[in-house]
Amino acid sequence: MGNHGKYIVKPFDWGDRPLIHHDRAVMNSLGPLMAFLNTDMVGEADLNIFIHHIDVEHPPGPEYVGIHAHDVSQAYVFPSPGITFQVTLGDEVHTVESPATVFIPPRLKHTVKIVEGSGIEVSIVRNEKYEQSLAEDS
Amino acid sequence: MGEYEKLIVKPFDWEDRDLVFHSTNGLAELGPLIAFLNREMVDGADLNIFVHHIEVSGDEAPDYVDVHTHDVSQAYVFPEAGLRFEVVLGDETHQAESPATVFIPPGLRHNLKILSGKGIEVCILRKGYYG
Repeated sequence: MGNHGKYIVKPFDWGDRPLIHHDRAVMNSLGPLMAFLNTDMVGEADLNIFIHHIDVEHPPGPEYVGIHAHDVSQAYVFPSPGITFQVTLGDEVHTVESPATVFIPPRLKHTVKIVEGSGIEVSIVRNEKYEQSLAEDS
Repeated sequence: MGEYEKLIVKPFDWEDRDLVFHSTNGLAELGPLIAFLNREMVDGADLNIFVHHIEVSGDEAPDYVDVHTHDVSQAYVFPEAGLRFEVVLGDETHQAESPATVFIPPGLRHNLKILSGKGIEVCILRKGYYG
């Protein structure tokens, strides 16, 4: 397979593993959270990527993540139409329809809530492990 | 409107704009390439994100990108089942099926070819512009 086959990885269901600041049971009620990239999957990875498969059966969707911040930037990408979400950035709350991207600069406090619809959300943190990116005062 | 509304952006079709190393005709033959994030969309963004909507209609998919390198890391993410692709990493060629991620460290020569199927590819570069 060569030395570089290690860079091609298969995603896996994060299951009931913890994710700091997130209520995993509530997240899973919307659909599975899949790990696509982290340093356990690829030792050299300096990006952390999750994909959340979302289907809100009873709108509005539940809250599942407290407001928090990272030392590094992050992006939420909603690739396709079909989802309405609410994102908190600092002291502002915005309601947005997919497709859309939210870019979160380092240390900006934020949270996200899915209001209605179905589709996927790609979360990209510009760092290694998710927990290592959390700002000290978050 | 608020100070932070500028951080929420709508994607747009890259159409026939230039993309270094890439044939935009070959890309478009597979389906639209949609820009989701770059430093022109959000000032200060240090991630470049494209989503390519792909459908291989003929027997053979086109080559559309030369072997190249970046000075930062990159990831190809294929979120769902349904695509087969071939990726060159250094002097190795690998074939894989989605769902999958390919991580490309800085300086590693690479390219990508879609072999068959239908789905999306999310391309993430760890800086605010593609190049």
